[in-house]
Amino acid sequence: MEKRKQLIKSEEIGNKRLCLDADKDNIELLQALPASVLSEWQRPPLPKIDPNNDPIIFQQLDLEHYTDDKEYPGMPPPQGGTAPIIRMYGVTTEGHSILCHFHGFLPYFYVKAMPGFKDEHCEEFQNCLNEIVLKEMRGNKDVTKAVYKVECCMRQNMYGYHSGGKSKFLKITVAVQRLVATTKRMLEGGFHTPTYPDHAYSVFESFIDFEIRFMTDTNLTGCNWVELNPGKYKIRKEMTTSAQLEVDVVWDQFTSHPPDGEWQKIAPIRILSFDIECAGRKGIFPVPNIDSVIQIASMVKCQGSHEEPFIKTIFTLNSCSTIVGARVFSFKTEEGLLQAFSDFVRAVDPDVISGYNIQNFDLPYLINRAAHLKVANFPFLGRIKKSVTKIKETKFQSKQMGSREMKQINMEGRVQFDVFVALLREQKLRSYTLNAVSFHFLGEQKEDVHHSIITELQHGNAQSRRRLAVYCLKDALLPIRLLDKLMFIINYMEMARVTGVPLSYLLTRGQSIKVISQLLRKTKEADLLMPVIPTSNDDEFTGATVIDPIKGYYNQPITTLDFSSLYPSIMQAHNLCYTTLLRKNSKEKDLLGPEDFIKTPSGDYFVKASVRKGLLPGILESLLTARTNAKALMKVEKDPFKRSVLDGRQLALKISCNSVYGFTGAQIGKLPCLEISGSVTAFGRMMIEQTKQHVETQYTVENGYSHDAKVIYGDTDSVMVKFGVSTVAESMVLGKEAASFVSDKFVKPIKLEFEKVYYPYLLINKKRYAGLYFSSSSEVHDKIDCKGIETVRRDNAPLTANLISTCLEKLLVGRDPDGAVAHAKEVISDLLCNRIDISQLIITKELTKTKEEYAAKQAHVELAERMKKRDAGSAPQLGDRVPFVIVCGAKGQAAYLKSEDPIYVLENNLQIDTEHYLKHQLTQPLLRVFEPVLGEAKAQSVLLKGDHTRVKKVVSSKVGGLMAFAKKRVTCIGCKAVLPKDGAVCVHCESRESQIYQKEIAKLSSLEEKFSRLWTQCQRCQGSLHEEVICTSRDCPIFYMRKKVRIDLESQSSVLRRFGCPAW
Amino acid sequence: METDETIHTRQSCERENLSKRFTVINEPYERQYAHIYFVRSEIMRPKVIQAAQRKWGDGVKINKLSEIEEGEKCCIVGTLFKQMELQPSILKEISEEVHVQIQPERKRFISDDDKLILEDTMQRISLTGNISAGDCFTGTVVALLGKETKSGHFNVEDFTYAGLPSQIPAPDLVGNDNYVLFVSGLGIGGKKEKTLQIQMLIDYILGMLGGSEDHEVSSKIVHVIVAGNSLAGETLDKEAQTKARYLTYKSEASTVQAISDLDFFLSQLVPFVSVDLMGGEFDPTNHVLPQKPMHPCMFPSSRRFYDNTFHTVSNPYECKINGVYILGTSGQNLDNLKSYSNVDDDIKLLSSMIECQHVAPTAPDTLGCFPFYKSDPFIIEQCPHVFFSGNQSKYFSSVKKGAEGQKVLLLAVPAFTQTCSAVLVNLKDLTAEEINFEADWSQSNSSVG
Repeated sequence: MEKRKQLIKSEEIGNKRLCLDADKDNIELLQALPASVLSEWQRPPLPKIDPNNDPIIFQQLDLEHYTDDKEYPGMPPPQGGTAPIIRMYGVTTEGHSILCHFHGFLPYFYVKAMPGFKDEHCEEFQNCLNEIVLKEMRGNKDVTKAVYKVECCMRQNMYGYHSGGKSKFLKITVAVQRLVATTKRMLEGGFHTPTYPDHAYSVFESFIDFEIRFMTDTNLTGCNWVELNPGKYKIRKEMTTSAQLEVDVVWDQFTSHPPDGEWQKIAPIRILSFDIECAGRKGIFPVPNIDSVIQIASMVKCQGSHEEPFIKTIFTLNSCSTIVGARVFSFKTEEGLLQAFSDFVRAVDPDVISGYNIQNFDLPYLINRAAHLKVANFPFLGRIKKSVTKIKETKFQSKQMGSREMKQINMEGRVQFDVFVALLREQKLRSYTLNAVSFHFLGEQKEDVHHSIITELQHGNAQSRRRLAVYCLKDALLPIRLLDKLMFIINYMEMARVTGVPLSYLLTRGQSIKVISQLLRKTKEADLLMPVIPTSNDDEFTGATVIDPIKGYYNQPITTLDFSSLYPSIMQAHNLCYTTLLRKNSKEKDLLGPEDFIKTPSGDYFVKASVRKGLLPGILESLLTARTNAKALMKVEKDPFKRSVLDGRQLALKISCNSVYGFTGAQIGKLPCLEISGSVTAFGRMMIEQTKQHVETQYTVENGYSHDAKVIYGDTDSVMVKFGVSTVAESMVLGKEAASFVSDKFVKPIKLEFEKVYYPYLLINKKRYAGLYFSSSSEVHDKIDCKGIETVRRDNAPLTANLISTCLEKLLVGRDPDGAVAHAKEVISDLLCNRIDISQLIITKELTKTKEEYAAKQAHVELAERMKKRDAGSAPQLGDRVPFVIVCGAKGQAAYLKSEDPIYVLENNLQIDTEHYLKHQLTQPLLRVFEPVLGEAKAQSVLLKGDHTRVKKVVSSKVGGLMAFAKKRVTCIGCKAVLPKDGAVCVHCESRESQIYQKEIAKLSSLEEKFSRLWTQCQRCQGSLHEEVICTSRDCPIFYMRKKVRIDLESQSSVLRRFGCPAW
Repeated sequence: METDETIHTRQSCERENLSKRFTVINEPYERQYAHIYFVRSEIMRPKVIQAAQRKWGDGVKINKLSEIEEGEKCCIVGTLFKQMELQPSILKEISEEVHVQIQPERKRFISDDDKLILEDTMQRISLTGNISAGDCFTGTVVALLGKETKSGHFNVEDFTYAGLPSQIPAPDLVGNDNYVLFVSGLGIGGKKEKTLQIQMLIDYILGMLGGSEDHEVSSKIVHVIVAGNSLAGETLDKEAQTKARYLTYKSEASTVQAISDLDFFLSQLVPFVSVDLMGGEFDPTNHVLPQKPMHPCMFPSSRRFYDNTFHTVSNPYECKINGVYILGTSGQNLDNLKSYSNVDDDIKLLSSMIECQHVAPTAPDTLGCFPFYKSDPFIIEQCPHVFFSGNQSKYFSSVKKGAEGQKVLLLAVPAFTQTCSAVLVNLKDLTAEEINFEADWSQSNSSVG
């Protein structure tokens, strides 16, 4: 702030005022960022470094490779015209940016040698291969030698158990990474040398990324600390990048510190978060070729600092009034604005670029816009001076997330951490708008300005643009706050460290790369090689089944026993691995004794650990020990920052543990092995069954227990037991006892644990249950736990979720079934009388495909089409979540045609199809919850019939048709009799006028209170009293409410007006 | 006016209702609250600047927020806004997570973390220094003297409100005692209803209680102002609005019995003395300020005298009785200031309202009001002679004098349910006394407060 002020003053001298008067709009605008400002924001200056005495220690954040044909002094020269060089970006403890070039590391892969291959023929093999590969890639000038080296080595195929041990493999080193694929193709397709006949070689490990290979071979993990020893590096004079220090190193001449102890620390990496605003045209989503970028807000912060961002800036097109706490830069031309932002990014030199949906919107928009305006110096946002930032469209497919179109943007040396993308991956939320997410995690809302208003504000004056700027700044700040709150950076770094992949992979790549990276580190130690397996779509294996539930409302404690990390522990217990698999038609089985292998419940064979210890169990074991260690350290750690790092680590370890099982089952993955995943689930099923038997035979009256235990339900990794005892404390004791009793019957490390007691417990169906959850104390419950019930499903109206959760609360916490029924009845009545807030009725669905791609007609798709016709601009786009309500339509009209935009409903006073909601949203969930309590027939009759289902019929007078001829007559407010003339009540009700009036005024009064509370809340949220609320955040729970209350007030006050105004 | 024919003749009064500005006929519900703040700051700004110049000299530099420079001493003018963590938020109440965590009930919503912010029509700045959030209120227009600090806050050295508005001198009524009786919080229909004491009050006004002296005083009561909450809070059945209709459609409004009791009491008074009945927080009228006069249809018995000696009037209410200007409310404004500050002193609060020239500074932020867009009726343009607020826990009165010779009687009218007392104000010399109707049978009636 001090700097800000000084600078403003210094610029005033130069007649360049930044802050502009709101009343006068034409003060000279800044054309480019003054150098003095930039120097303030740059990294601390680098002290002099003596390469012969000073070590360089830094945390590496990202690495990638490039090819170069130059020779660097002291480094291995490129042999075949060009050579790959690994470029590593890092930050020192002091916050200096370091770039390291590693020379001399070359890509390689393996093939299985032909039987009888002799070591001395390696050279011949290499020459032939080189020739044919070069021929294959004709037209390529830069590579003069493709295959560098062929060596013989003793390795073993990882896939399947072989008693023979190691055999001969050829390690083939090629010039550059892209030749791996070509060379592999040549060898697979059949290759011969003068000595050896044509042979289709089986290829190993050709799918390993070059960077991962380098990291494995040099023991680097993601984001660990690297030390360059004095004398082992050379400082580059001619810098190719914007890093403060650039050095050249031979690829294996450095120290990589494992991320333990002191090296757990995290460097003060710079995080820049930004947001742009575009001036769209009315009704059309902004297009970079037409609509200009008018503002860019940025916030910069160092990881680990708890203070506010130290840089807060806003670049605006045209003048903008000052904003306290932020620097405003105004530009006359958009070109100037874009150029300045690009300069700004390079000057600030962030390590991480963040924002909300920057990857698919902000960044591509800026790049396209700059290209359109021919701002030649804009697209250089990375650290590499000559590298042009470009957009690449990719399709991302994952079982976990479905297919998504993604834009990839190269920004060398800066990790793009899009909070939106991270949240999509990590969290299941009702809505992913920045507003909804901020409210959910930070408990605060932001203004949501509709893009049509943005243009208006821009065309106003300096003051209205200031308003926009404040909004834009907040949009840039929230992602940073989310990063902090959710500890994304720390957790992702720990994940990178645990799995050994670069940070950027975690957001751009799928799950399997993490497992491959871990596997590779293990196989390397054991001289094993991963085969290349052609992808296939084999049949599915059966998933985890369950013990059939005995449905009901249990008003006694139900103990739940869980297998902790079931799948990982099965793999460990039974030594399930690629390396221990005995293939069905393999002869290995015959060589082994029956005691050496097991047959899994799915009919597959694996050798026991006594014969050969599997790799996967080894990986899992080390992950689990690491997790136990991290948890133990966490308990004693006092520093909250270090504790959060450890917490991030144990979480990362847990996730990686579970992803190992998933990796073996991924059929389009690199190394699917359905024998493993199938066996794991089969074991799981069997164990649940066995647990049931053990518990039910042990805990009986016969054996001296007070009741016979009964297993009422079992799922993937848990079993629910009714011990028959009446208190939570007793059932906890029995639960602990039973857990250890059953655990003893299984192979270690499989462990059954007592986790929780439900009391009472409502078992609705498979995967659908709810209960009051006791775990830490037998006196106080921790929470209500619901599984598979509408409270958590996202495609229901909030009404359903709220109703069900309140009913459950009454049933479980209050143990008051009557109260629950009464509540359900009230809500049904409210619904049918149109007294439910519309926000409660909104259903949202994601528009994932276009209309043509959907097979059946769907409500949200139809609505999106209709909205497009009304106003193409505000209509939902592909990928948006579409909010809608169901309105009354013509009789017999299909439900999908009755969907409507909630705003449109409010504005046009359309009638909600309340019966549809009762029938399709409430009935089934309610019956499900109440059937176990009341019984099937009774639930039906109590809930869905009776007084409360009386409907308030509202005649909706849509103008047009016959209604144009209808004349509305005034009716008595008291008895609805038609009145002869205007007034409030009829002759018969006159004596009751006072009573009738009092009832109506009470309604008005409560509406007014709501009105004032709602609108002042919006004022507080937008942070201004003197300016109108322009927020249109549909995710905000009060958005529809405040609109509705206006309409209700209008109609209620017109009712009261009929009584006549009292004299004033 | 009717007369008490035994010994004394009831004096009559000249009454003029000046509450026209509180009239709301076409409720502007489609408007937003920004306008009222805007109008308020536009009207008040020149007045506050004047006050600032009076206080800190004509040369004091008056800056807009966009013009201030760090370290330079200057005066800024704008609307105060208090950011309060504990302030009840409707958003929190209705958001999904809420039914898990219940917000504790509290009477006061202030905490040490409250932040003061000054907002002019364009931007905001947060305040530090010699100004405490505990005794300032959102919505007041103030002038602050101070400097902007390095961290972008404004360090306040001194502050001022607009000060007392100008006043038309009170009429000269020397030698002619005549009283206006203020009563509030009758609380009819509640558990604490003091039925007997209310009847005593009525008898007293009518001259049917006490001795000759009392009768003389009674005869000089020219006017009665009932300052709100004639009905008890319990009669306001808030649940009725949220309960399902099938459970309530046959039920009556909860206020019916209480209102008819009130009508009965009033019908005894209005034939003999003029009465102004103001609505209050719990009365059957609209909720937000200004509250409309209660509808005469609810008073079938007293209605005969409507517009004659019986008036239902707005809240806030301003009138002129025998030339004396009286302005006041049923107390919501004062209660609200209390809930959002740590000032307990009623007189101090009334006094600061007069000084900032505003009847309800916290409206609309924490106190509901109509979204006015052309005017701010709550601005006190002209200094009244009596400024009262009903429904307080105790009787307080004090005279405040202004620099230009203004003189205001500040009056906290106690709630009858709590003190069983009313307040007599002598229009002659603007003195006030409390008269108590404690139903202690050994004592007969009055006592001076």
